Amino acid sequence: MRDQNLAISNPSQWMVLVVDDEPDNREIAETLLSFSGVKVRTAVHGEAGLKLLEDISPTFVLLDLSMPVMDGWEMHKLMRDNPKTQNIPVIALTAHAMAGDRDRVFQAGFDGYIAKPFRIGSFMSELIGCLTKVEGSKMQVAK
Amino acid sequence: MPVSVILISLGLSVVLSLGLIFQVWEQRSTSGKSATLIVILMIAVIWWTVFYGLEIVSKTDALKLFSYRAKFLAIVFVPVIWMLFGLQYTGRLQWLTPRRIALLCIFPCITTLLIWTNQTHGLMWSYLGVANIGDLSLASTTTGVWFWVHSFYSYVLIMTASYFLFRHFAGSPGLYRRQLSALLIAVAGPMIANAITIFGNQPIDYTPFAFAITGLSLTWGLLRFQLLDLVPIARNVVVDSMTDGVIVLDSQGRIVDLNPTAKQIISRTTPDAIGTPMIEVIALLDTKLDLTRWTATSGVVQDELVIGEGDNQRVLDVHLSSLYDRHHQLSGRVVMFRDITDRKLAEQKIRNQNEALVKANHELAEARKQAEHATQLKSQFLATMSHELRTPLNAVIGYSEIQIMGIAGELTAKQREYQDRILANALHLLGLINDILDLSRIEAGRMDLLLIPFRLQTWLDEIVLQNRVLAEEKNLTIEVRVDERLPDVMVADSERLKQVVINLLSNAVKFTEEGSIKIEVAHNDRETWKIEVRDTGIGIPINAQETIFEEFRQVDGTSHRQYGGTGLGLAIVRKLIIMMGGHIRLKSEVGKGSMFTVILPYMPEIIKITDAEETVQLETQTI
Repeated sequence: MRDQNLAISNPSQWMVLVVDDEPDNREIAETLLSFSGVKVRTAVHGEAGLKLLEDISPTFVLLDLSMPVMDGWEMHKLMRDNPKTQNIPVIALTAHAMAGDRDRVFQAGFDGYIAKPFRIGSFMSELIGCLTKVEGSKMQVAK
Repeated sequence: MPVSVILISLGLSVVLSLGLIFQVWEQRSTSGKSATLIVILMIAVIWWTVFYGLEIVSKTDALKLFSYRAKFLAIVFVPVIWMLFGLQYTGRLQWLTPRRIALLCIFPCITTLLIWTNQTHGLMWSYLGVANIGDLSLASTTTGVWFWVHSFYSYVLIMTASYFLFRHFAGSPGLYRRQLSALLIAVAGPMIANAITIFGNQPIDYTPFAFAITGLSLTWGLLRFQLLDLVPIARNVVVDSMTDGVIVLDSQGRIVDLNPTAKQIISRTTPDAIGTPMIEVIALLDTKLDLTRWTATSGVVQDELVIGEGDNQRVLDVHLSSLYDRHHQLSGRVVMFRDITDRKLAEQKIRNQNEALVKANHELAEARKQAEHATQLKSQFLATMSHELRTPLNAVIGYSEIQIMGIAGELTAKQREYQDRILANALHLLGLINDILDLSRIEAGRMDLLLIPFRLQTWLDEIVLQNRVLAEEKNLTIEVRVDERLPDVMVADSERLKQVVINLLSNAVKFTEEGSIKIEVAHNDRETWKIEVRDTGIGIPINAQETIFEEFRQVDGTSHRQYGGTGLGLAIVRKLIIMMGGHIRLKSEVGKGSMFTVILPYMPEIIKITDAEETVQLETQTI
């Protein structure tokens, strides 16, 4: 537990998979996370993300919802269906920011929700906030 | 024959006649003209009898002869009265015009005239004197030419009237036949007696004695068979004048009788109806009719006939029922036709109206469905818009902040300033987008309020927290006062109401340079509570106090640059409050400050707590 808590509050130990079809959004997320010492992997849609997850086991996934080929809802569902990936926390990072969207995301079983556009000042603390809520047993610390 | 026997017989006739008059007079109101005619007939009979009696008992020849002549006044008119009764009783009312009655009276009048002038011409009697027959002393005559004319005329009238009565009753059921026999006995008695008197050249006139038979017979008919009550003509008049067609069939289904209405209906296809089987008539009337039902041998058949074409088309309701005699044998059938065209047309009209209504309802439902679909599309469009506008803004804001933070390398002062500008404008744009989408959703009716109980104090703390940093920067204090009379937990859409109060509070902070900001939450009246946000800021001029709640309005065009904001906040605030069943008031004075008062109902009208679990979850989130 101690190690896990330490891991949560210490981004340099994170490995994060960012799945987003928008290159700008991938770039910004990657830049900000890397700046905090996070190891970042990216995928352009859900299918590519799932393929990547066969090889890596990230601390959590930052997942856009509206994407071509396979959207975030589908990828999240398939992750939950797979024993290997079902315990990886998934945080939605989406421009679906109207009333009700947040509830829908949590109802689908996501572990966190961050609306676009986000502010850098609160981005990292929001991520940590989301992760803190996730049960410790679900956490996977990057090796 | 002894005088006393004759007189007693005559007296009996008078008494019977008087009794009959009394009886009939009692029934006058229900039996009408027939009764009146019987009364007149009986008066004539009494007249005849009384003067016959006087003729017998008078002492002088002159009186005897006067009585004899006076007696004839009744004798000449009785056939006329009988004729009138016959016509009336058998329903030949059209004959009973004053003109025709006068015509019938011509001969009797001439006869009467000739009787009283007989000495001069002897046309009635060639000899008129007094003779003794046994104990009796009576008028003795030798008949003249006119006497035979008078007799012939009288018999023609009596026979004709009797024929009418006989024919009328011939086809009638039992009761009427017995009435007939009563009537025929009543007329036959005096007639036979009279005939014996005249043609047998009898010195004694037996007719008055026979009137006793008449009186007895009529009284019998009256008392036993309701002679005047059940006037058979009533049936014929009713049946003949009915607007419904009536056809009587024999047991073989052939037409034996029909009323004028029925005749009119079937004459087009069957001009000579009597004797024709009804099934053929029906088949000709309506060729589309299913005849199998009509071949049924018993029971009731009900059907609808459609006859004629186009505008002349009529719809007839046909009802066939069987008649049984007292031995339960089928004795015939009765077919009733009723014209139901008007009713059918009315029904059709109602059906058409109903169809039109159903169609209109359908169209309305369709329109509502389309409207709902349109709202759905609008709502979907707003969601897409929101997503598509936020996505590029994320890039703009993200890259700006990355640059400002120096992650992409150090910036010059100028570059830094421009990046700040880009970020500020991007954030302003984001605010605009949020507000416009909120407004659009309110106007599209897609913003649903979620009414939940929330803890007032916690809720207020969160609001103040959001504005504290900005207030502290400007050295402003935010005072919060909560009325003790208010319950700890209120019911409202707490998130939307929070949006309202945060908006008001941030305006207060924004437009106040020094002094304080007060939030007061208090009981207003039995049904409402209020939230007051008061500042000591720049205030709002009177002329702007109305328009400030409209979209894209601030006090003037310059304040946007000075104070920021989209100019949509108060418009959203007002719309949200109205949605919540409340209203907002503004009190302000330029240079002294403003006070916004939000009045809200304790019990919001539509409580959309559909899922109890969700409510609990949301409540715990709020606390």
